[in-house]
Amino acid sequence: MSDSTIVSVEGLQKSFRNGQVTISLFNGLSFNVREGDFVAVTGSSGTGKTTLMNIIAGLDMPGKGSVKVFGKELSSLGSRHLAAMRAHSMGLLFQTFGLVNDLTVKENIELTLYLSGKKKAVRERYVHELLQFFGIQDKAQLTPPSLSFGEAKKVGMARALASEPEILLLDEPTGNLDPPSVNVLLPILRGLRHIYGKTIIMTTNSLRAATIANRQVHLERPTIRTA
Amino acid sequence: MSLNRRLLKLFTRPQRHTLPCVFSATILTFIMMTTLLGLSDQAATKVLPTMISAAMSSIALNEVSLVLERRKRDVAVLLAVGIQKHLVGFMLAARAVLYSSLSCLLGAVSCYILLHLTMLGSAPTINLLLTLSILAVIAPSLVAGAYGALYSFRIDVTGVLRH
Repeated sequence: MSDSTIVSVEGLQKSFRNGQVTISLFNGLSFNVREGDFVAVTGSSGTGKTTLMNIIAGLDMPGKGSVKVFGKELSSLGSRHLAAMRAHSMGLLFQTFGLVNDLTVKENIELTLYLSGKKKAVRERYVHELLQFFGIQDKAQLTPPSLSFGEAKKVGMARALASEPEILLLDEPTGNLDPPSVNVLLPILRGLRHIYGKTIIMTTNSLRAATIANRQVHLERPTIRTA
Repeated sequence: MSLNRRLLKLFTRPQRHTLPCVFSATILTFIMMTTLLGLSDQAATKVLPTMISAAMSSIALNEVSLVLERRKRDVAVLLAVGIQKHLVGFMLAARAVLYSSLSCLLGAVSCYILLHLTMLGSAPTINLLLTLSILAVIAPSLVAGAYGALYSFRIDVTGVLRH
């Protein structure tokens, strides 16, 4: 593993049991993500794209194989270390946005800034910058239920960026969006890499979104065994 | 506003079920105080507060479990973005302290006013009210805090966030 490798996945497998059926995902998947890479994880529904993101984020554990993030084997880290790693080094965008409905847009974005221990003035300035970057400054005082799908995705992405993470894990950033919203989001995703120089892993079903990444990891269909 | 204060504000916000829970706990505190003042049996004076504390703990547990059921998604989001699990337990303990204290205050004030005005019994001393109030706050808070901590350690974050 070279010094600039941020994520290293080797021989990954994950199995789920559902009654008599065992579903095995990833089939020994291996790949590395280096600093500054923009990796698109593609594959049809049910191939484990979200599960892969959860494993890299330390929210789920691999069944077999090794997943190292910043050189640390995730399965050897406790929940406290994993939480600290997510808070300080990772920005996560969930497929279902993962916004807290009782907090305003501004407060949702600030959430990860608190975790990075930034002073109030810095937090205010940074949130303002992010709101402007995503073009949602007029929504700052609204709560998530009053946002459109596309706006909620932007808020999710702004929150993911807020703690200035070393790696961004974006789960279906363009999923379920109408074409005009995708047209707005794709340049933003490009900008995240080129302006902010972020390392990005993004899952997507969209070929168009995948083309903006510099590398693609394709997930095969899971193997299903009946006991 | 710090992270802890922001979370505290989020987790202590009253919900629809909070008022009936506070009302029930107030009545229990009132019963505990008025009955205890009239008791002379040593055994009964020890058993009654324990029973009422257990009942108040059940109310607090019920209140907190309803909050967690409604805030399951928020808890999952907070844990996913990197908030430490024990913080959720602390916030729920703080919620139980807040609402148990409110119930105790209302119960104690009602008891004091009733006994003082009607002269049905000797008016409780401030020390006795304080002791009973502490008893009625600590037990529910410990139970609610422990339940919250346990919940945050057992919640299936990825499962909740998927839906």
